[in-house]
Amino acid sequence: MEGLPAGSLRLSRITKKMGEFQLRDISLEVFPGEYFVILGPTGAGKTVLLEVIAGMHAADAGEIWLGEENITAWPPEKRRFGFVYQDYALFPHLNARENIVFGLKNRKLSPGEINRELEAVVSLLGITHLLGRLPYTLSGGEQQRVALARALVMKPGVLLLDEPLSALDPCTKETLQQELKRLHRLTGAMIIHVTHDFDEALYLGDRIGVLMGGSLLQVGSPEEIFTRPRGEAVARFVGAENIYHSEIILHGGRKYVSLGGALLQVETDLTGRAGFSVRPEHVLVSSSPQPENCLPGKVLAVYPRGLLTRVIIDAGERLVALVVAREDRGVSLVPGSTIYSIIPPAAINVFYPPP
Amino acid sequence: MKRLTFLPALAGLVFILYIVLPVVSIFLNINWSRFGTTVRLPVVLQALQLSGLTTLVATAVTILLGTPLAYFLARRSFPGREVLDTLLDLPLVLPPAVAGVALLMAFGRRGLMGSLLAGWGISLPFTTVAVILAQVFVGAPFFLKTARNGFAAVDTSLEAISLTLGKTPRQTFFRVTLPLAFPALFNGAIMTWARALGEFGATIMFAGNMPGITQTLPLAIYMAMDSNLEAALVMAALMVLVSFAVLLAVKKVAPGGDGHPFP
Repeated sequence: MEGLPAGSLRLSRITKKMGEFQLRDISLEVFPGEYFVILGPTGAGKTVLLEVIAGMHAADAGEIWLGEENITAWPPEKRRFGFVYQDYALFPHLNARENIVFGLKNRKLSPGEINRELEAVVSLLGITHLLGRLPYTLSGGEQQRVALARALVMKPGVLLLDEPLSALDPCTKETLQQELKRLHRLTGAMIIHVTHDFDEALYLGDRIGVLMGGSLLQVGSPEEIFTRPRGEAVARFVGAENIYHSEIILHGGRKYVSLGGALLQVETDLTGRAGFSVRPEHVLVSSSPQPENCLPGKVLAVYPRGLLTRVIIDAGERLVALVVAREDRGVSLVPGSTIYSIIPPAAINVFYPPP
Repeated sequence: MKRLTFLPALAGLVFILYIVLPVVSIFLNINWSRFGTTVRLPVVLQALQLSGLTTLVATAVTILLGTPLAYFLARRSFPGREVLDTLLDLPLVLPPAVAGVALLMAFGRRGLMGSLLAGWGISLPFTTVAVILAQVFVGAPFFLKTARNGFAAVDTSLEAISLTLGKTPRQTFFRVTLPLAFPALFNGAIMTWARALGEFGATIMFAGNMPGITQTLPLAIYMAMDSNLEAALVMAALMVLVSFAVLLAVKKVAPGGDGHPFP
C-alpha cells in the first residue's frame, strides 16, 4: 500500500496529567515500518499515551514530530493516525461496510474508487461476508477485523492499537496475533501497539518500550527487555522473579555479586551498589556442588507444571528455579533435600538500583 | 400462593380503572351525532389551530436552542455545572402560576426585558408570542434533560475515532453523535411538545385568554365548561386521542430513548 510515513514519529519530553494518570517526560522515536509495542501494567498510562499520539488529548508539555513536521498542535483529524480501541468502537448505527468507508467519504473519491479501496482492505482481512452486518451481530474477532479495516483503508502514516487483542478468547487472540504480523508485513505501516501481555509483545514487537507509572522505563529489542531488564520494576514485570541487591565486588580482575553468602561472578560494566535479576528458567540445579557460580540450598517447595517444575529454594535468600522435570540430573526435588543451584554469569542481569 | 398474587392483581386493577374511567367518561358523554358540527365551532377550530401552531413553534425553538446546550452540558464539566443543571430543571417543579408571575416580571411592560422591548415599541404580554414563551419556559426542561442524557450515553471513543478518520468535529457531531443520540432527542422533543400542549397556568397569566390569539385548547376547554359543555368534551376528547397516539408512536420509534437503540 502507498501512503507510508516519510519519516519517523518522535515524541520529545511528553508530559500529560489526566485524572489519576500521568505521563512523565516521555521521549521516544518510532521508525517507519516498525512494529513498536508499548508494554505496561494496567494503569501505567498506556491508553493516554496513545491518545496523545493520536491528538485526542493535547500534551501538557513536550513535542511530537512526524518526519520533518512538528505536529504537536495538529488536531486528530489532521494527523489521521489509524486507531483501534480494545472494544473496537465500531459505529453501532452503521453496518460493517459503512463503518469501513466512513473516513473515505471525506476524500472526494468516486464511488468506483471507494469500492476498490474497500475491496482491497476487505479481502486483506477476509471479511467480505460480514459487510452487511451491524456491529452488535459480530463476534469480538470479527469486530476487531472490521475496526482494523476501517483504520487501514485510510492508509494511515501511523497505526495505533490499544490492547487490540485483550478482549478476545485465547484461540481468536492467537489467530489475530498472526494476522497483525501478516498485515504489518503486507502494509509496511508503522504500528504502535499497546498491551499488558508480555507474550504478545515478544511475538509482535520489533522493539518494546516498557511503560510503568507513566514513565517509559526501558526501550529495546524483545530479547533485551527479556534478558536485560534495566531496573527492578521492569525485571519484575517481565517475570525475572529472582531480584536482589548487592555491592559489586572486584576480585582478581573479575566482578562478583553476593547472594545468600556466596559470591557469583557477573559480567557487567557497573560498579558499586547494584541490583541484579535472574530468570527462573536460567537457574540450573544439581545434586552435587559445582566449581563455578554455585549456591548451596534447601528445597522449600516443588510445583510440577507439566514439562517444567517450579522449585522454590532457600539459598540464604529465596530463589525460584524453573527446571525441565526430566533433566534434573538425579536431583531429588523433595522439600527439605539439599540442592545446588548454578547461575551462569551470563544469566545474571545487573542494573543500578533506583536512586 | 394464590392469595399472595390476588391482592397485588386487585390493586393493579383498581389503579388501571382509576386512570381509565375518567378518560373513558369523556368519550361516553359526547353526543357523537353532533360531533361534526361541534368540532367546526369557531371556538374549537381557533383553539385547535392556535394550539397546533404555538406548540410546534415552541418545540422547534426548544430543539434549536436546546440541542447545543444539552450537548455542552453532557460533554463539558465546569465549575457550577450542578447549579446550572438545577436551574434549568427548575421549571419542572415550579407551579405554573409561579412561572406566569416570573414571565410577567421579566417580559411585562415594567419587567427587566419588557421595559427594554417597550422602548422599541414591542409588547409581549397577551400576544401569541407570549403563549409560545410560556410553553417554552415550562416545556424546555424535558427536552434539555433527555437530550443531555442521550448525548452523555454516546461513547466518546466513537467521536474520537471519527476524528482520527479525518472527520471534523462538526461532521463527527452530525454523523456519529446526533444519529446515536437521536432517539433520546426525539423522546425529549415529544415530551416538551406534550407539556406545551397541556400548558394552562402560565399561559393564562402571561398571555391571557383571547380566542384566536392566546386561547389555546386547555384554556378553551376551561372556558367552554361554563358555556358549552359539549364543545369542552369534544376538545378534551381530541386532546386525549392526540396524546395517546403520540405516546404510542414514541414507544415504537424510540424505545427506551436512552441513546442506545442498538443492543
